[in-house]
Amino acid sequence: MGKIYRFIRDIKLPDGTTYPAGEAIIVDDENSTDAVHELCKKIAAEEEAPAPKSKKKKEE
Amino acid sequence: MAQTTGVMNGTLMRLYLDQTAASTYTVMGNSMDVTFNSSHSPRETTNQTSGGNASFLEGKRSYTVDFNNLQAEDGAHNFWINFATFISSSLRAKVTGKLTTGITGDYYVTFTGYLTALNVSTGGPEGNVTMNGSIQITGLPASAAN
Repeated sequence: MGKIYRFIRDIKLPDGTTYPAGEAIIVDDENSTDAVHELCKKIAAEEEAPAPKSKKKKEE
Repeated sequence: MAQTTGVMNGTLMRLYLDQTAASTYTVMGNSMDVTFNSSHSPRETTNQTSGGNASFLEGKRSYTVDFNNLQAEDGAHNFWINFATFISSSLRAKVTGKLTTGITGDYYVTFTGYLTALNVSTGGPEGNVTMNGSIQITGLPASAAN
């Protein structure tokens, strides 16, 4: 089972090149542990994570 | 997304490569065009009973990919990235790739091959630096729908 990742911002690939936002990264082997796939999983997890709650302003 | 309808726009079909020869593909950056070539060399079996007509049986099938790109130092699969694969003593120019629109329902082809040509050209004064290359596919390419 494969997977296609697309990110809304440019990302830096492990080889140092810049990958443009919106371009597909195609993973044929969902269990692969190569560097690009690991990066995709990390960024996808970050994007899915809920935004941190803003601290309430201290009442004066 | 559904399958692409009508005559396909050439900008949609892109070459994706994995320079580690695995199966996570990223698009060829600054690509201008890509050609997937299939050829077949039938075996000639003409003999005295052929009635003066050449006859053949199936023979060797071969596949290559040609690509033309603009060179950008920070572009994915730029000349230097390909060159590193080309001269690597471990990879020895081996790459894996996929030609696809990336759209669900459209067909794609995946392959394993070796870079057989890799060229960079300065394009002359005030011209674009361009690169082009060829991949000789080894074995049978696989085709299926996204």
